[in-house]
Amino acid sequence: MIVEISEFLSRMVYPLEITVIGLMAIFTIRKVIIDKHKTGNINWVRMIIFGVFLSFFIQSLLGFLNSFLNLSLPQFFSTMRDSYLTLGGIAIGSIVTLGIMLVTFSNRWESLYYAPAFLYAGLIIMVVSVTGFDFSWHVSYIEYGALIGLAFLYFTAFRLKDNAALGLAIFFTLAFSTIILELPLINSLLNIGYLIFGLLFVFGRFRVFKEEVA
Amino acid sequence: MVLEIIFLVLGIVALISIGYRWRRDNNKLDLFLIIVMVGILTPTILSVFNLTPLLVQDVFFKIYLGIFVVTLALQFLLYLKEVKKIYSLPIIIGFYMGISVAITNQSMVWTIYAAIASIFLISILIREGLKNKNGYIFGLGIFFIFFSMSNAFGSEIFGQIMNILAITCLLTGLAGLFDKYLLINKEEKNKIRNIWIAKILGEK
Repeated sequence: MIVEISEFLSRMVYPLEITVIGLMAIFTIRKVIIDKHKTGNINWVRMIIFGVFLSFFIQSLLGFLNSFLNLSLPQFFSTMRDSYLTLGGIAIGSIVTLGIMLVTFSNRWESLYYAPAFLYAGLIIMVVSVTGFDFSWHVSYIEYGALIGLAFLYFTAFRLKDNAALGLAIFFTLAFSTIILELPLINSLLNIGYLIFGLLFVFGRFRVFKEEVA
Repeated sequence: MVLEIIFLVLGIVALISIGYRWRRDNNKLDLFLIIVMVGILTPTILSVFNLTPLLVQDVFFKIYLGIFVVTLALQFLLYLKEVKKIYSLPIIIGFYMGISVAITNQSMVWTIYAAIASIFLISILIREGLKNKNGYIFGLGIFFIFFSMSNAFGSEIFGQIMNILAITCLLTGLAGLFDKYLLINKEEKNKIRNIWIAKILGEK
């Protein structure tokens, strides 16, 4: 019974993921557009969060096409990220990069604003041109970058009392724990958990800190 | 050897005068330039004092030193233009250049990067020097022209002559000779002349 439930949930996660994360991306970009109309400026922190959700959406869409619909797509569109340059791999790398960028923007470390983007772009160029497509570099970047990014997101959240940083940190902690843990039922529950949390976060229901960051 | 010693002596003179400027004005640009100059003079010091055999791979040492100098020079340029948001770019490019040279054992990518970076650096320094009538920055631009030429051409004597020309231009800039004879500020000069004429007329 438990096995059947966990199989059903793990299968249903794909359509649920693209729907929820797609909604999260739409709501975030909507907020960016409203802000732009109100103030005349782009809110770059929100724009980065949109970038994170968009990359996550691409990753989920690829999972849906490959694993849920079982389509045979070209190698570039597969979800493998260990041995080839794939769109899924680039999307995960972008999530990590944008996560670190969010830290630099939130802390207003102006001289480091684009450092994560430069680092990632350089890595991709190097992997493609110098290392002979050795993707172990890319995998290491994702693993260590994710850990560093998460640590700094928590640090920023508590230092600046920033709900956005804390929300994203919890969202990613839940999302990454589904990759690390190998318990099917708990994984499926965690998957649904982080999607529900993501929705609460996007609709502004997650407010641990009462005072907003200026 | 003689040319190398001349270059070294002139380089040390330039280093001392930049050091003096730095102590006087406490300007970070001078500090950047001191580090760049030390990087540029290091191979000559090693060569003059016959210390190069101590280095296992002389060619790679020079490449890494070159990466360091170009990175600092670009950083210097960004600092000059106050483009804070891309301060990290030269360091990241230098980091990947170092890795690519270590992996491939080839200097082709580095050579192309150094050429592009030098053209960029020289054009901006000369433009800034001319625009702001600043002989120091202008001299620095001319210095990098000759210094890049010395590295670009294989001939050793030609390279040494270019190095000496480069350091001479830098010293000319530091001494204020470009300000005095080349980048004359006409408005300022006219103002002084008018005051001078007014003084004479007033006295009469």
